[in-house]
Amino acid sequence: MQTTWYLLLGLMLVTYAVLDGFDFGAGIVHLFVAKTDAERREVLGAIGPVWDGNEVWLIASGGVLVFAFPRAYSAAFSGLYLPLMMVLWLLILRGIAIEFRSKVDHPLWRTGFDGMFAFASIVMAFVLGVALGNLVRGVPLDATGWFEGELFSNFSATGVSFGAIDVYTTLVGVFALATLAAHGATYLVWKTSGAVHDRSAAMARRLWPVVLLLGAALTAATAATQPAHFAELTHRPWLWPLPVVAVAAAILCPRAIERGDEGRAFLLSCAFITGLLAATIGTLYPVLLRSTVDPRYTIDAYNAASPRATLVLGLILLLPGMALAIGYFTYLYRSFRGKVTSQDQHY
Amino acid sequence: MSAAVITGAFVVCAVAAYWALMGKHDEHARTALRIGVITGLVACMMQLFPTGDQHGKLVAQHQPVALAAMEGKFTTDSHAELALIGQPNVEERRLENPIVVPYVLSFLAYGSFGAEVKGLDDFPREQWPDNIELLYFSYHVMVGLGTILVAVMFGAALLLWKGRLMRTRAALWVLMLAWPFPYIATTAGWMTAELGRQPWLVYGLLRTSQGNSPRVSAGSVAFSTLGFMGLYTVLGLAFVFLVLRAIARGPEPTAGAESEAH
Repeated sequence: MQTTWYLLLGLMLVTYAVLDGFDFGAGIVHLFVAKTDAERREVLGAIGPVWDGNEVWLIASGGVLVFAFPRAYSAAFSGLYLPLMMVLWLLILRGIAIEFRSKVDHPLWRTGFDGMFAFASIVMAFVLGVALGNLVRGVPLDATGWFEGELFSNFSATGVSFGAIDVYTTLVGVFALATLAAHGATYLVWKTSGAVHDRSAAMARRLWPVVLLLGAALTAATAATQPAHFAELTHRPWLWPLPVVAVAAAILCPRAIERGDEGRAFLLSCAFITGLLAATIGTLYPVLLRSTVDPRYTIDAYNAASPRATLVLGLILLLPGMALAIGYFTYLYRSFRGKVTSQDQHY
Repeated sequence: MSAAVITGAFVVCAVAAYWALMGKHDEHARTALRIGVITGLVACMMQLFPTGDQHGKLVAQHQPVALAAMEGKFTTDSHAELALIGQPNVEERRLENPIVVPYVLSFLAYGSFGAEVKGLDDFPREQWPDNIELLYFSYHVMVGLGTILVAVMFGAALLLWKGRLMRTRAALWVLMLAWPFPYIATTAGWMTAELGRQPWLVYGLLRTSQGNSPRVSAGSVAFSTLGFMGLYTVLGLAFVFLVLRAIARGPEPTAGAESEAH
């Protein structure tokens, strides 16, 4: 039962990263690929109908975490209180920027909100990477079951002091930023036409090699920072295809764009993120929050889980909800399929 | 939910009344007033009965301490009276300058004029809500404003029925100015619920003082609270700016109005 919930949580997080990832990505690149007001409206039209729905999966993940693994939730959300508050503010700013920008026809009003949209998207992508980095690296959980979370470490390479943002997690953050930028650009290639399409294609083709390069650096850094992580991966051969799929997808994606095979390019982009995250989560299992102090203090799916009866009841309640969500997501994406046209200018 | 509908109805009425008083957008004002008043009337009636009535009885049943504090009731009585106005003096355990209606509280809480209503004196001090004065006034602001708002809606509905609403400028003035009060009443109602359940986080099981995160410092909490206050202030100002702009511009021609309402 604990494993089921761990898998569910992982599935939701991957869904979230893939879906909200492309609208973060669109926000990251939109200042560069869309220059005029009409072009920026085209970008917003591409993500407008879906971005807030995509964030449902983040909220659902938080709900699942507090429901199924309350101890992990309380330790993580207390230790990383400030970063999480800032994530909330960034998400609010992003939402305001998207919804407010086209309400007033004034060049400064619109440029201002475009900047806010880009800023919030860039920092959010970085922060999501930092969060993942913290999960892989581990946090100083002690015997009390809590940890103190400073925002910054002293950036010493040996990691003398703990901080949510240190050399390693910064690298993960930059990697996430590049990945989501490439993901978003690939999405825009698929959903737009004209100048935005051409600039997005050029940008995506440039970004994917950067992603691969950063990925290689990150692999080395992970091996150095948390040797246990890859040691675990070598024991789980059933996970090995996942990173292979991811790397292959990242290589094939820019080629698909070149060929004009846009739908496939976006699917490859999704496969890259899915493969990488699934491999990471599969390697971490059953760990939820790794302790850097002593493995005995690590919070995992077994020592953090709610009582069995709760988990069973929760599953019965969750499944219809998931089915509903998948149903309306299918309907939503079907309704807005195809490229954005000048007719659907809601933004 | 009916509180949200009431708020929406009052806002619609306020905008329509403003247009009607200015003699602008006559058709839209007429339609909006009719929809606003009828919706508002239905929601007001639902608020009184069954939702508000049921909620009061549930509080009486499950949180009798909260009820006593909300009503400013210190002594236990059968045939309990309902205090309309009065200032609770917690130190001396009495209500100052009260205006009361006899028997009504017993009836509202338990459905019988003779029912016994527990006063705060019957409960140990450590189970009292922490801030009785604030709780008492939140509750009375909510109920007081609620009663006035229901009366306003009934009056407007009567005039609408007689077909005189668009010509009765005094009523339009009242409707135009009434819109902030549902917001205040709703907020006060929220405060009543939250203050009333103190000192419990999970009623009867977990005290608020035991429910905080041990590793989050007060400074961090102050920082995040200030951050939210700042963010919401900016957001609120931008919202008011946009709404006032939309009201000043008035409705767009029908074709444009459709695409705007996305």
